[in-house]
Amino acid sequence: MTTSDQFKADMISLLPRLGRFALSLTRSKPDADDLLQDACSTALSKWTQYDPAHPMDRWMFRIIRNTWISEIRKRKVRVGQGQVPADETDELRVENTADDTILAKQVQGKVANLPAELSQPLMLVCAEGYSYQEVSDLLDVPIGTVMSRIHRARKTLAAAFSQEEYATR
Amino acid sequence: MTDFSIKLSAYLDGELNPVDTKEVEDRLSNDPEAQAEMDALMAADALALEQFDQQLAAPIPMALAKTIKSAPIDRPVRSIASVWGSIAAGLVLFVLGGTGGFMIKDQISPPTTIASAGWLQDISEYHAVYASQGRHLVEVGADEADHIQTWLGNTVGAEFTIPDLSQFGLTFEGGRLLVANAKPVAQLMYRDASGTVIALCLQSRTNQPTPNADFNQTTLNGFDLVSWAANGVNYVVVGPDGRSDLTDIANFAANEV
Repeated sequence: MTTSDQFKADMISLLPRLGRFALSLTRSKPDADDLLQDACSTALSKWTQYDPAHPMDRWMFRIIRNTWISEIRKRKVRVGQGQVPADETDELRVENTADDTILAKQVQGKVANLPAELSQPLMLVCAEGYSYQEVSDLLDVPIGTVMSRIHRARKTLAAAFSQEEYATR
Repeated sequence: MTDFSIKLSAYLDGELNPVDTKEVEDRLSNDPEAQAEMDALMAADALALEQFDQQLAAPIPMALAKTIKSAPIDRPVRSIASVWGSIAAGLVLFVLGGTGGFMIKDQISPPTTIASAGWLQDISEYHAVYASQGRHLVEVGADEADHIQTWLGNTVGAEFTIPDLSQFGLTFEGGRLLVANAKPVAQLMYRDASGTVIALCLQSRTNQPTPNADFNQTTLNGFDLVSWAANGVNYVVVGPDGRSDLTDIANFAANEV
């Protein structure tokens, strides 16, 4: 097997996890599929830059994340009176607002319904085993923000879960 | 949301320093309200993990996997000087040695097309990569055996039971999803006390004629493979070249899987 074949085989075996990460960023299956395809294409074009001494999943996650940032900047989501990059909108900004109860109702105990900024770090820590520092490095947010977002994600899920239990009594 | 509340999450993730860890543990042992909050966070975590795992069970995007596998990709970058050096060396040898120079041309321009020899070739190549892995031998560990059966069974399109191969000194380590001949493959990984890895792989035989039920043995890439087919599924046990009990393992697995 050539080195490039190993690289491709490893990438293919990672596709389910890469797809899950893409979904946590985009919150939309069609967008996640497009993002995954673009990121794989980028990775194939840069495969000589990959250092096999490091985990490939980390490298691919970073490419996916950068590709998505690039994409949302291109889209220039219109907010308020002007056009601003999507990563500067409220949708992608975490704030410790007091309306967790409203959010919990919207989430209904499903991680797929969590806002992206809450589900991304939770997925990386809870499902991928990342440390807070690794999440901070990948998502480019302070480690304290990682900590508070993960906690808020759990609290939101817990609140939604308890509401569902209450409703079914 | 208090600082202590946030610390509970960080404690759950093993991210607190020793001082904060002790503070949380002391509080948890004396404060039922804090313990209740911790219980709720753990329940949320379990809920989240279950749902994140379900996302992995989605079918692998086969079109993308096929595109990746067939994509022509650049060879490692070499400096212009080294390329010209290789060409010059080739020309010198060609002039000096006649056909000798011609024979080394592949070192300068290696062929980019790699022939595929069926799914067993792919399996042996995967084994060459993964059997040497330590910590990352599998995608999903043996502690989630039920999930492996559901996830890989659904993805491959073939129900199976994970065989217990302990009588051969093999411990089940977990599973991986592979792609061979552009179709998903379930790979179940076992390891013996010396660290040698044996894998049992299975792939649905959709649209393929049913072969005879015999076991076939072959050696590819330095690995022995014992393969068979049954009930619309292809199976293969792969291990190191010369392992004497591979056929016995295959026989046993065929009855258990």
